Formats: sequence, structure tokens, C-alpha cells
Amino acid sequence: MIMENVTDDQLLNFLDGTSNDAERNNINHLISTNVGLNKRLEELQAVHFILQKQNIIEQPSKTFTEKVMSNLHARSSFAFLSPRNGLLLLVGLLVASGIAITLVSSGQFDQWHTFLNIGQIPVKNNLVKLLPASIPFDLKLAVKIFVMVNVVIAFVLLDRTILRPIFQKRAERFI
Amino acid sequence: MGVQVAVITTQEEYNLIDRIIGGEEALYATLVDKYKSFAFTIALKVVENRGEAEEIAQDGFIKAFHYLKKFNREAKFSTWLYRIVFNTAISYKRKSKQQFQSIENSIVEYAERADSEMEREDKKVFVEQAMKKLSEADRIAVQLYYIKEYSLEETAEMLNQNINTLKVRVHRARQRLADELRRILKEEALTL
Repeated sequence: MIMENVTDDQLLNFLDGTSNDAERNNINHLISTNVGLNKRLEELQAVHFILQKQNIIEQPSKTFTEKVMSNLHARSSFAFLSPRNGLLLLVGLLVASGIAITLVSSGQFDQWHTFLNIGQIPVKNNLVKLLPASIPFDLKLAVKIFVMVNVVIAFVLLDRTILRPIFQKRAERFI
Repeated sequence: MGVQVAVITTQEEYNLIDRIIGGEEALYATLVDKYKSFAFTIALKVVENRGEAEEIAQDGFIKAFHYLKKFNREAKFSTWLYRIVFNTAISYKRKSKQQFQSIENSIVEYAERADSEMEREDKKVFVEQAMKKLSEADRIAVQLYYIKEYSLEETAEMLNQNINTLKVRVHRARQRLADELRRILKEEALTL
């Protein structure tokens, strides 16, 4: 049975070789008589052949595998931080450190000396008796340590989330 | 020019994965060598920039390495890996400042380039340009479909799409490319 109306989908199936015998015979018959259909098939065929010629599997750089293997652990630790988030966190750390330094230099923590009494803790273990009854605690020193830790983290963040991605991108442009 | 990679069976591949999970990380290079080309091709089809595609494909492999224990072996390793690469590429492109060209812009670009190239290039150039006017999903679907490396089912799984959706996208993309080609050739005929 000859079907006069052939859709684009049927023509594409014909080109893909997925149409059944009846459809294929029908199209073969119609394209010899129907100029419009023949023209449409030619258009789709042109696209089909051009796309077939573009079916190239691209090759990455020769150092691809080496780079993956060398970065298997290096990248993963900070993979969750985009450069933008890294920058925000970096700014946050620097602001917190700045505030802490300002407070320390203005003498806000100078009076914060105290002793942590551990002798009053009701622990039955005899070993506790070997410990001193109290430990001196200086808040100023604690804040200074906090600032130092922040600065170290800030340097690591700067390297991992901002500088390293920038230099990697720059290096890959020359591959 | 293709790179020669040792052929390993699915079972050998699973054994290899077990050994990698067991601590022999250096063996992961075998999997990277085997699948890097197609992973890179997928990333390249999405971002259309070789440097970015390389970075994305590498990130995909690194992510796959860290999630290797979660690979449940219901699908092929390659399909699972390519889906990771594809998702990485899509999320990279979304985050990237290099936004898609609007349809209007691509028409302008086409018109500008068409004038200069019409005389010396064939239909291939027009199809490549018309490709830019397709939606991203349709363009990637039709390009991966024509690579013919994987079945339609596997390609659909890679792209995380229903097989019928993928078929519709491939057909629709080709119809639009053919329509565009006809329009271009018609314009060309009028200018002669």
C-alpha cells in the first residue's frame, strides 16, 4: 500500500536505516514521483552526511593522564570551593583577623587573665591528683593564636581556590 | 590519530576497579587512558573550547575516582563515567561567565560570516553555523548520536535522558538543520 504522506521522521528513519521494509519500499517508490518529497529527502540527506563526517572522537593533550593522576588527591580537598566562594571565605577570614588584631592592639583583652580551676572537678580517678589545681588562661594569647591560624588558612585558600586555578587555566591555554 | 589502548573486558575492568578501590591507585591510569578521548569529546561538545574541555574531563575523572566505591555496576563504567563528565561540563558551563549567545546574536553572526564564506565554503559550513542556533540539549544530542560510539540507549543514559526524548531531540535537530540549510540555499540563490 502506497502512503502519499511521508513525514520527516519517516525520512530520517529511512536515512538511519531503521525503517521497516514496507516504509522503505514506500519511500523508494514516492521519491521517484514526488518532487517535493525528493527535495526534502535531499535536504535531510545533506545534513545526515555532513553530521556523519563530523563524527570525530577528539584527542586530549598527551599529558592528560599524567595530570589526572597527579591531581587525584590535590584537587579533591578543595573541590567544593569555587573561586568565588574561596574569595568570599578569604575575605571573611581577613575581616575576622582584622577585627581581632584591632581589639588586641586597643588593649581590650589585657585584663582577661584568669585561672581555670580543674581541682574542683569531681573526678574519682587518682591520676587527676597529679595535675595542678589550676591552669592560667590568657585570652589575649588565645586571640593571637586565632589570628595566626586564620592567616595560615587564608594563604592556603588563596593558593588553592584562586591562584592555582588561574595559573592552571593559563598553562592549559598553551597546551 | 587514535591512541592505542589495551582492550579489556567488562569483568577485567571490574577487577581493575576492585584493585583501585583496594589501594592500587596507579591502576586508575589504565581507565583514564581507555576513556579519556570520548570523555574529552563529550566535554568539548558541551563547552566548545579545548582548554576548558580538557579541564572538565580531568575533573570528571577525578570525581569518578573519588566516587568509585559508589559505582554500583548496574551500568557500564564508561556510561557512569561519561555521565559524570557530562554533568561536570553542564554545571561548568552554567557557572561560566561565557554565557550562551542569544538567538538574535547568532543570527547576526551567521549573516556576517555567511557573506564572506558563501562563495568558498559548501553546505558543511552552513550546517555548522546552523548548529549554533539549536538549543544546547538538541545540539549535544545530535552530535553524540552521530559519533556512533555508543548505542542510543547508552547515549540516553549518559545524558540522563529518556531514550524517546533523545530520539525526539535528534530528529528535531536534524529537521531544523535541514530547514535552515534550505533557507540559506534559497537566500544564496536569490543573491546570485
